[in-house]
Amino acid sequence: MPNLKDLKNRIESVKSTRKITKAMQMVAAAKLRKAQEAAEQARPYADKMSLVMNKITSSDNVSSSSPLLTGNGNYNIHLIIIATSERGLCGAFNSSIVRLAKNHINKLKSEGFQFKILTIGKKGREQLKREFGENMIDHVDLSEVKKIAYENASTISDNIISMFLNNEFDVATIFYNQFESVISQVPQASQLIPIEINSEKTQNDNSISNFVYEPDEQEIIEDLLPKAIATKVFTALLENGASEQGARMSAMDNATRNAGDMIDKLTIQFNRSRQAAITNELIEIISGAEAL
Amino acid sequence: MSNALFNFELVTPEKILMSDSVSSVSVSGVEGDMTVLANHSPIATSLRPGYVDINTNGKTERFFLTGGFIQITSDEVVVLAESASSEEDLNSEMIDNVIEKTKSLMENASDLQKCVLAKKLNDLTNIRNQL
Repeated sequence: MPNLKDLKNRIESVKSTRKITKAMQMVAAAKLRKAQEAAEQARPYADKMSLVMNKITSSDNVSSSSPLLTGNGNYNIHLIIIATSERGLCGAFNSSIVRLAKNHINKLKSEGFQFKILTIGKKGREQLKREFGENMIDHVDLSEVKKIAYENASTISDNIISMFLNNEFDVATIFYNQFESVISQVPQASQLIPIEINSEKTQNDNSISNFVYEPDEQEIIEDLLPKAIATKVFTALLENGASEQGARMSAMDNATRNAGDMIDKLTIQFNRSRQAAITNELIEIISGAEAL
Repeated sequence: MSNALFNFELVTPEKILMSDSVSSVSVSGVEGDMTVLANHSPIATSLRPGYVDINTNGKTERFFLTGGFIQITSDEVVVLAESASSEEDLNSEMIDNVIEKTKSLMENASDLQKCVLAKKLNDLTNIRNQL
């Protein structure tokens, strides 16, 4: 049975832990709001961009397509881009991305394909380094970046595109967490190169046929493809940012609640042992008085 | 000049900069400058670095774009800008940054892309010199 002093110290230390997790939760909540706003504001551009891409690629005049669109004909070397956070203490956020990526890698491995890994964010790199250290070709450090700007994303995507044009890989896929709500973030894979274009919307859109393109479709595609890829990376980073804060907020909320429970338990234990000590003393006094 | 208004959106990757009913929009397309009035025929074109002037009932707003894309459909006009800044914020340092970046991109680009980038570089340098 721990003595009263020990119990008191433990209660104090759990209380200060609760203060810290509470503070982190509130900071995460404030950051989450900002990150969510950023993600929402970026959505119109991404939507419009994919709509335009849809229209152009579905037009008949696109003859020889860019390798960014159709791939370079091979399917051998895969580039896995794993976007995680720079900081920990955010629940299963990082490990769920890493798990999905690992599954993908193992599948590629068993099918005999080669793969290379590019990590964005420190935490994913740490988790993968031991297993796939020799496959890591690059790492993007965003720890100095407070607010993710389009610039960051376009630098990353330009880098990826030039690697692709140098034939360093054939297919690129980015892994990130899609923000659903504060309690649910879904790890996702999205193929960057050759770029995936969802063609569902195009069918019921009649305004495609009478478009005039200036200069011609081919040149516009060359101009737009890098931007479309950068936009995809940007969307992934923003979704990841919002997910990270959401995950941290719920993780810290849990931690705060657990600390509260623990304090309650320890307080009860403390009170019981104090009462036991008092009762003991009383018994001693009474039995002492009786003995006289 | 007609006073008919049409829906116009200026969208950057980070946010919608402007979404309003306007009377005319002037942009610098890759094939030449053009002004869009209401009921323009559908057209889509890339934009070179330059200014976009948005006129709403006689009041003009001007933004600088480092490049982008305009899409004119029967019901709206959308400009997708790589980056946009108001005229006051524009300075030569910012353009120099973009020029540097474009140059580094050119090193690994395919032939067709090089052609696009070279044009862009030229435009940027012109604007830089005008400041």
